[in-house]
Amino acid sequence: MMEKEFDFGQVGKRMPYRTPEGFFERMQEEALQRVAAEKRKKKIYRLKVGFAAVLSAAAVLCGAVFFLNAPQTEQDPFQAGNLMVEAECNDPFCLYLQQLSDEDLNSLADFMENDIFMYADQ
Amino acid sequence: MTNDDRICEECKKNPERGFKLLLDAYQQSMYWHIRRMVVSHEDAEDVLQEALIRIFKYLGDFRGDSALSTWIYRITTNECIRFLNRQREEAISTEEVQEELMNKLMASEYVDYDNAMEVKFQKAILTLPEKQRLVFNLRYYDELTYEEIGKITDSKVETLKANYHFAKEKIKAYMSS
Repeated sequence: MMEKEFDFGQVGKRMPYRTPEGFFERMQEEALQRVAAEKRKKKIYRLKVGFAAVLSAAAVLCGAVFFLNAPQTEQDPFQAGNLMVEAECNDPFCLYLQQLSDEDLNSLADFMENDIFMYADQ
Repeated sequence: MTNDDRICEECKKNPERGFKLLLDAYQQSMYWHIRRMVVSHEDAEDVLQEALIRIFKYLGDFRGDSALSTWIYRITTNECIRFLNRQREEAISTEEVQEELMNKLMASEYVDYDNAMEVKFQKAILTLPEKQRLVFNLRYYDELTYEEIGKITDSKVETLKANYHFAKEKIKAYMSS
């Protein structure tokens, strides 16, 4: 027996699928809300990018101003260091220490570390 | 001026109002297209949300090279395929994905099981390979031309015609069994 061929007209475009009550209205509201949120996010992002750009420009400007106004003197660092030591060292003990050689300084340091009576009165 | 022209014009002037018009015109056809592809209502809702956001995001880039409806269907279809691909990544095989879709059809709160023939018809569609299913749905339910389907799926008209023909034959065989 020959099977009867299926006729698409029997079903047409009908589907068994359903949606919850008021789904499309709710969906539209949600979509519009999400879109508004996306727009806000975009706006905040643009503001952040703008703010970062302004900050970067300000930093570059500050750097340029600082370097352009800095004193243009050249100094021998060792010389500068000596001046500082001389400026800070005014008391006689300090002047005495300055006169000592490295070897004498080491001996003095050892002596002070090992002498238990050194700070006894203090 | 067509409705699509009005939507495009409004989108340029006021994107949110234009988007509202777009929703009025296309939301339902988008949902049903997605629903036929992903079967479950919950999944269709998620995919629709994603597609709508994407449409709003790129609405400003729409240059009118194709009809607005074709552009919307293309984005919606891509979103469906992305969803199905994600499912495929989690599944072991394509058959497993098909089985999962069949299970969703047979155990859903939002499927009317009273009409056995309509349910069987959807089952028949679900037995088709994904591309054939897509072409069948777009041609049969949405009545798009092969040229439009070609723009949506990046396929040649001849290939689409063959896909549709084979899909119909398979459905006929399934429904007659």
